[in-house]
Formats: sequence, C-alpha cells, structure tokens
Amino acid sequence: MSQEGNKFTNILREQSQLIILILLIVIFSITTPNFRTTGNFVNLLKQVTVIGVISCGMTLVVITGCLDLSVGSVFSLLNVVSISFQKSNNFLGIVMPLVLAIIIGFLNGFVITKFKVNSIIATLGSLSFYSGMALLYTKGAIIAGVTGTWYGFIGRSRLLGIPIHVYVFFIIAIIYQILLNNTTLGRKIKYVGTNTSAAEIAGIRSNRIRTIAFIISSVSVAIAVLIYSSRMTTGSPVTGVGFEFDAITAVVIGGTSLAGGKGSIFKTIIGVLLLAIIINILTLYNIPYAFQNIVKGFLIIIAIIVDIRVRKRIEN
Amino acid sequence: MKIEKFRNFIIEQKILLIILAIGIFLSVSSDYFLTFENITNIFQTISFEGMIVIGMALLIIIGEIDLSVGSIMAFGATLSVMFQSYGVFTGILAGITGGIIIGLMNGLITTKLKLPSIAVTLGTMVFLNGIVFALTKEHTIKGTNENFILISQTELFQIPLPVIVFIILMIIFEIILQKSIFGRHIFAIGGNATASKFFGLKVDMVRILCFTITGFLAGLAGVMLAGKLNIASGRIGGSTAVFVITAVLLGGISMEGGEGSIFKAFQGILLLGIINNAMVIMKISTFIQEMIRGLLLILIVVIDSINIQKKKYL
Amino acid sequence: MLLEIKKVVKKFPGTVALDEVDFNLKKGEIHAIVGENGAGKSTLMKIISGAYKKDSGTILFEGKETNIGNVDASRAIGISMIYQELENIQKLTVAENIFLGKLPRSRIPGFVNFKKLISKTKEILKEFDIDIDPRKKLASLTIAEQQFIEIIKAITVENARIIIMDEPTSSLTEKEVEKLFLIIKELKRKEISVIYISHRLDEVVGIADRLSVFRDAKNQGVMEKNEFDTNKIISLMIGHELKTAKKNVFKEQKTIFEIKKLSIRNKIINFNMRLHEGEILGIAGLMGSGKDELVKSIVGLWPAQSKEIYFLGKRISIKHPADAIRYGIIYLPEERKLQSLFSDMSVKENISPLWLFNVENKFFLNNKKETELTKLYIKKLSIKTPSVSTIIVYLSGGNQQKVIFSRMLTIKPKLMILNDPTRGIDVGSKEEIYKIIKELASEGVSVFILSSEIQEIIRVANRVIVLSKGEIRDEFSDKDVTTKNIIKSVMRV
Repeated sequence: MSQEGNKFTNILREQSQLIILILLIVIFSITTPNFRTTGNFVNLLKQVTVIGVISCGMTLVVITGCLDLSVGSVFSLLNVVSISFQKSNNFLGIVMPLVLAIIIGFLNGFVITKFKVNSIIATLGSLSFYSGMALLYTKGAIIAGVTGTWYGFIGRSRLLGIPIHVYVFFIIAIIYQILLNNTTLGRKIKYVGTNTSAAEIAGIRSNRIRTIAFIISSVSVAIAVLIYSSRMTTGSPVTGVGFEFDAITAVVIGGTSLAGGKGSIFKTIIGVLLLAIIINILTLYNIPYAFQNIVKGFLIIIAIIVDIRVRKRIEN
Repeated sequence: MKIEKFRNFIIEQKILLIILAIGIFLSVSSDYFLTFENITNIFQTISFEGMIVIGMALLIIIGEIDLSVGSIMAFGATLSVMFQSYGVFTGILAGITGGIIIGLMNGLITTKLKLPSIAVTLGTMVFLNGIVFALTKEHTIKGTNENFILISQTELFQIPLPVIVFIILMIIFEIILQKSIFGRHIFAIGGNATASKFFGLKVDMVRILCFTITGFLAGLAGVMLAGKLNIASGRIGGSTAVFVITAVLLGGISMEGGEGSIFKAFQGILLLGIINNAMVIMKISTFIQEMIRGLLLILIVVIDSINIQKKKYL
Repeated sequence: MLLEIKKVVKKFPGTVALDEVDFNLKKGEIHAIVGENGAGKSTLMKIISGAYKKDSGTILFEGKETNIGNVDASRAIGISMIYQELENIQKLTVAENIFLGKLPRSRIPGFVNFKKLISKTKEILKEFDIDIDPRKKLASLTIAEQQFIEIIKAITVENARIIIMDEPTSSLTEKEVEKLFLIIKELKRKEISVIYISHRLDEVVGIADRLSVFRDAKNQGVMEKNEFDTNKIISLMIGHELKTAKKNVFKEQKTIFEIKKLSIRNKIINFNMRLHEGEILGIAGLMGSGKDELVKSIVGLWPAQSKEIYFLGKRISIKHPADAIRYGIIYLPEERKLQSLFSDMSVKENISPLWLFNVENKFFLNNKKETELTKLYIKKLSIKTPSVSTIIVYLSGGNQQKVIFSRMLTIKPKLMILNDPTRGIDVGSKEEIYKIIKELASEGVSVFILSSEIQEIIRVANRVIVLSKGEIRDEFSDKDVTTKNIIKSVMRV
C-alpha cells in the first residue's frame, strides 16, 4: 500500500470538487455569455450567503456523524421572530433568534445523544415541530417589519461593490474553519466523528461534543436569519422550506463524508458555490425551477455513491 | 398465574387499550365522535397513508427505511392524473407503475451499492419531488377524465373503495408476512442479516422486494388520493414520511428490526388517525397539530431507543 | 478415518500459525483439542470450516483429497462450526432458527407448513431429550439452551458429519454441562464426529475419546482415552518452563489503588483487590470469567451494580473514562481497530488526544508542540513510520499499538489497564512492548494486564489473579507466578 503513491492522483481525488468547480466556471464562461458578467457573479454570491452560513453549521454536525434536518423550519421560525421584533426593538430582533437558536440546538442535541436516537428521524420530528411553531407564531400570515433597521446595512450596503453580507459569510466560514482545524473543540469533533468509541475511551464526552455541534448548527441558522432579515421588511413563516436539503446537498457534494470524521468548511464552500453555479446555469438556460430539485436530489445520490466510506458505516 | 397472564396481556396489547381509552373519552366528550360518519371519516383519512404504512412496516422489520414515500405518493398521483385521458385504468396503472419503478430503484441502489437506505431515500425524496414539480409545472393539475373520481366515490356497503382496498391490502400482507417463506425471511434478515446470508437466504432479493412493494403501495396511495378530487400537485406527501414512520413506531414495531406485524402497524395508524381526528374535533389549529405530530415522532422514537438500550448490558 | 490433516501450513505476516500440523478424526469420535491461545487450534478449525485457506499440506475427507475452499464447501460436506458467540436470530422461534433456510413448504406455493415445522422440531428435540417448546422465541431461552439449539441446527442438515465446538461450556452451569455431554454422546451414537476445543481439562478428560495437544503451531501429540494424564497434558501444553527474562524486583510499597465490592450483574461477584505503586498485576481467566467487564467497569465503560474505587486511600467516583483519566487511570482496549485507532487520521493525531485535552489543555492547538511531542515518542518507542503525518492504517499492527501506547504515556499515567495489549502483533514488537511495560513499572506506574496468552502474563506480572465465573479463584505472587500454576488454575485442575 503506497500512501503517498502517486501524489498527483491523490491531490486530484482529494480536491476533485474544486477541480469540477473550476472546470464548470471555465466551460460556462465560454459557452454562456450571460454567465461571465460581473453582475451575474455578484448576484450568485448574494444568493449563496444565506444557505452558505447554514451549510457551514451543517458541516460540523455532519462531521460528528449526524444530520440536522430541522434547519429549514428553524430558519422560518427565527426569521418571523426576528422580523416581528423589528418594529418594537431592533436589539431584540437580533438577540431573540440567537437565544432561541441555542435552546433549539441544545434540545436537538440532547434528545439525540441522551437517548441515542437516529439524528435524521429526530430532526425530522423537530422539522415538523418548529415548522408548526413558525406558522402558529404568525397565525399563518406574513408579518410586516420595518424598513431601515440599524443592521440593515448588512443586507443592503456594499463595500468595494460586494455586498456586506458576502463578507459576513466569508468571515463566518473562516471562523468555523479555524474552529475546526485549530482548536481543541474542532479536534474533538473530528475524533468523535471518526471513531466514537475510541473518542470516549480517550476521555472525550461525545454526547457533549455532538450537542455543541447541533447548537452551532442552530446558531448558524440564526446568523443566516440576521443576514436575510436585514434586507427584508416582511417575514413569511414558510421561508425556510427546503433549506435543509440545500445545505445537506452543498455539504455532501463539497466532499464532506456523511459517515463522519472527514470534512472541512472549505469543502463546503466549494459545495455551496458548485450548487449555486449549477442552479445559476439552469436559470440562465431557462430551465424551470422544478428541475432544481431534480438536480439536487440527483447530486445527493451521486455524492453518497461516490463516498466509499459511507458504505462501511451504519448511521448512529 | 392468572394474574400474570392478565398482566402480560395488558402489556402486549397496550396500544389497543390506549385506542380504546381515547375512543371512550372522545365518545363521552363529543357527540360527533361515535357517529358512523365520523368513524368512516377517520378510516377514509387514514387509508391512503395507511397503505404506505404496510410497506414501511415491512422495511422497518427488515432493518431498512424509506423517507421518499411521500414523494412517491405525489408521483403516483401525478401520473394517474396525467394518464387518465387514456382511460381510468391506464391512469391507475401509470401511477402504480411509477411507484414500482421508484421502489425498485431505491432497493437496487441500497442493496447493490451497499449504502444506508436512510441516506439514499433522502436523496430520492428530493429528486422525485423535483420531478413531480416539473411534471405538474409547479401548479396543481386537474384530471380530464370525469370517471376517475369513481375511485373514491364507489362504495361497497356504504364503505368507500379506498378503505376497502386498504383493509384488503392489510389482510393480504399480514398473511404474507406471517405465513409465507418470504415473510419469515423478512424477520430472519431483520433479526440477523449475517446469519441469514450464511444459511442461504437471498438477502438482497428480499430487501429489494420490500422496497419495491413499498413503492407500489405508495404509488397506489397516490392514485387513490388523486381519485378524491382528481387533482395532483407537488405539495402532496410533504408530511407523509413523518406520519408513516410515527405510525409504525406507535404500533410497537421497533426500529431495531426483526419483529412486528401488520396488525401492530394498523394499531399505530388507527391511533394516529384517532389523535388527528380528536385534534380536529377539539378545533385545535392545524399549526398546533403539526407541532404535535413532530413531538409525537420524537417521543415515540425516544421510547423505542430507551427499550433498545435497556437490553444492551444484560 | 473420516478426516485426515497432513502437514498443513498456514502463515500470516510475521507469524507461523500452523507449522506442518497433523491431525485426524475418526467417524463418530469425540476428539478434544487443548492448547494455549495462539497455539494454532483456532486457525486449524478455521481451515477445516472453510474460513481460511491452507498454504500447503493435504486434507483428506473420507479418503479423498479435498480442498475446502470456502465456508459453503465445508458445509456441503457436512462440517459445521459452533462459535462461542452464537450467531442466531434471537427474535425468531426455536423452530424457525433450527430450520433457517430450510422451512418446510406447504402445498400452497411460497408458504410455510407450520404444522410440519413444529412437528419436525419436536421430533428432533425429542431425540436428544431436550425439553424446549419449539414455539418459544430464542431470546427467552437460557444461554445453555440456545447453545443446544445451535447444535441441533448444525446437525439438521442432510449429511452432518463433523461438528466443531469452540469453548462450548464457558457460560454453562455444571448441570447444563452434564446435559451438553448427553447431547454430545447422542451425536456420537448417530456417528457424527465432534471436535471439542476447550480449556476445561476436567471436563475434557470426561468426554473425549482422544485428545490432541497443540503448542507453538504444532500438534504435540495425540492421547487415547486410557492414556489421559493431566500432568502430562499440561507439560505438553507448556513445553519447558520459559526462562523468563529478568523481572522487576518488586518490593511491596504503598497501596495506590483499591477496589472494593465491585459487582456486575451476571458477570462479577463482589470483587476486591489492592494494587501497589509500580506493581504489575496480571488477570487471567477464560471467556465468561468476567475479566473484560471487570476492567471496563473500572473506567466507566460498563455499568456496575456496586463499585467502590479508592485512589491513594480516598474514595473516587468514575462514571466515564474522562473521570478515570483525571486520576491518571488509562484503559487500553483489546480491539485496536474498533476502539483505539482513529483510522483516517495521522500518527500525530493519534498520539495527541489525551495530551491535548489533559496536559496542554488550551483552546487553540499548537501544531509545533504537537509535532514535537509526536517526534519525541516516535523516537522513545522506536515507532517505524515515514512521517508524523502518515495515516495510521498504513503502519504495521505493532507500530500502531506503539502509537496507542505513546498516547497513554503522554499524560504520565498512574495506572494503566491493558486489555490484550499484544493481540495481532509480530513477535519483535511484542518484546518491545513488554520492555516498555516493565520500564514503566520500575518508574512507579502500576499496571493491570489482561491476556489470554498465559506466557505473556508470566513475562511481566509480579502477581497474578485467576478469575473464574466472576470470582477470584486463585492468586499467585513472586516465585509462584509460573505457567504451570496458572494454567492449572485456569483449567480448573
């Protein structure tokens, strides 16, 4: 077994998603004139930030070997909560979502780790629960906020031609990446995802680590809500529908393994960009919206098939 | 001795007793509950997703799961609406065939590529959902064949056709599960797949067949559902997976696999149906209903896990 | 002669498991095989049952040369193996387990004839005088009953000829053993041969017609029933008493660690024990003795019904390995791949976890320090690896284990609990690990060592406890720590 083997083919395999991304950009820049305009790219980045931040949080959960299907409905809930506070108290409009996010993440993590429940099924239940809660909160209606909140600049202003929230996204991504690679917590996350028994024997409380991952995931949703609500004046209780699949697709096609242990925020960003570009291309070619889900589902299945490590693992 | 036996019986049939208890409570607190109309209503509501519960029970017993059943149901409904212009039976056939194909696809990818079914069917769910939206062009489509509504309108002894189909399917599959070789193999494989393989059981084939059956049942459920108002849309089936999995677990079939029965699954659906009915009668808002459904799933899966964990350190 | 094995060789990287082994089995014979763990018995059985392929040598079945290529082939000629860990389907009934894959069919195609299934099961159970209701779920039976059913399952084939039983009595009571022997005698009556592997010499001499002793990958000799002599058998098993390398001279110092009233349901009964600073305590025992659960419960990996642990005289509470680590108590699991290694990660990342979270204990990782630490231990323990970033699965078993040892050493442990520390490791690495253990002890580290290889325990231990069915059977110290003493105790002679 030659571990360095052919260094080139190894790099090729490791960074295949990045290469595909570059190839796609190159190919479509050539074939589709509308693609290569700055306007299009900036537009792309704009759309990417909300899902991008959620995907960063999802990455950590996936590395510990779980999935969080509740992020979409939690987004809906936190969004309407945030907008509803815009009128009375801007400050609470930021704080409430964050506080709720911590509680929700803790509950998710607690149920899954304490009772050793499959995370997909548990968060499926959470999905229904928080989705209903969002609808209940607004009584099914779309609620109105105000224009011009103090944090509106995140959503509306630009720096050097690029919207502020794009910078926010990248800063968050960098912080998460540093957390994952350069801190004790991040290392523990990797250990727990790679081999939970070995991690426990090495003194890592895997239940706590997984719960922390779920809390980070929910907090990421809260940050995404801030970005989103900073440029919205109304809030719909069903905004987040489907976000969980976007996030999972991005994480999975970026190359983070569903089996746990291996992955990075960098890979997820590539996945987010890949997904955005694919959808962008579909739009530019006037392919109906419905096909986006077909593509997403197809990509999820392909990514799972390609990920050999998943075949040896049975989830949680 | 007799008290022991009685106690064991109570524990065994606890779901039935809960159903009885809730039923009695509701009959007392509401005049409407125990009417023929309401009871038929309950059965009619549960018979669509109830068909799917049959398939999901088989899958969970064999140790697998299928999250895409909601999308398959939407797919079946859509195909039946689209193809009914060639005749009612063609429409029905189209819907069922669509379900079978997707079920087969789920089964093949899971078994031949040795992937976890929960992940694969998650992908199928999204993929198929997109196909349904594409076929319906993101609208609600209406069928052109007036006779199609006969599917839900036809009654036998005042019982609607979908309910009859549901009951017949339950009986058929319970017999298959408990008495046929295929059925016994489902239990064996769910109990210990390695030992089963070692003793010559065709593990892959049985698994694939279970996925295909589930696809068939979900497609059929979609066809029957479309038969209600002769419409179909991509919004069908959004909460089906949660409902169906909750029903199976509520009935007492463990995620661990290896044991269960269609009768147990039926108890689960019935209980869930009665709870839903109760919530409607008590005029609980649909939003709270959704919250309760989510909570119920979490609760039941936690209880199941606790039971599984208890056995570990013996 | 039903089965003849001639000069069979089987090698694995780093070891010779079978060194020109001869073995034969008569029709309707009960042939016992005894020998230490690692002597070659299991490997030979795996070859006979088709799980392994021989490297060279001849196998004759009923006089004809056979190449038992795989498990299906061996089952086809009538060979079945019953493992210590039963592979059955707990949630199915007795009858369905016995006839798994051979369910009697009814006249309706595809359906089972349940009446016939039950009656056939009752029939065969009656032949062996086993009084179990065929309709009961297997899970509701005792372990002994499940084992009997396993045997019945093995012979309910067209042409059952050989049954191999590996340590069949490890979880059985005396009465159950008697019943097992009646069943085996019935097998003999039906002219089915039995290969019976066991450490229980007292039982073996009671049931076997012939007995082979394995040691050092060879069959050291076959004895007829009338020749059975316990002392002779043990001598053949041991060979010459190993000239043990110079052991630590251990003077009884202070008690560093004490366990009182440790009880684990169905596994351990009221265990009490004291350990001194720098002492190496060996724990010997067969499967079913409870030694695994014992050490696991010390570090909080297995629930105990009662447990009192004292460290330097003070009572401490350990509910999770993290608690144990705080007091310097580290556990080395027996399954390296499943419970120790972070397979996809580098050597560096495999050495550092304990150090990172207990010594360095800072929020931000310091890559440089981590690398230096790794290099230090690579040198100290002579770990052969191309670099600190090499993925650990690429290292040999011995070097992997040295990495795990390094992991433990990084936090200067007070007590190391080693569960089968040299399993699956080449001889050279084994020696190195023994050296490391002795060095640590001389520096004041206390050690528990569990092993199924008695020779290994002899090499390092100052004191040895023999566990049997949850209780301490014997204790040996200093000069009494000999292979002979321990084997005799373990084999209940």
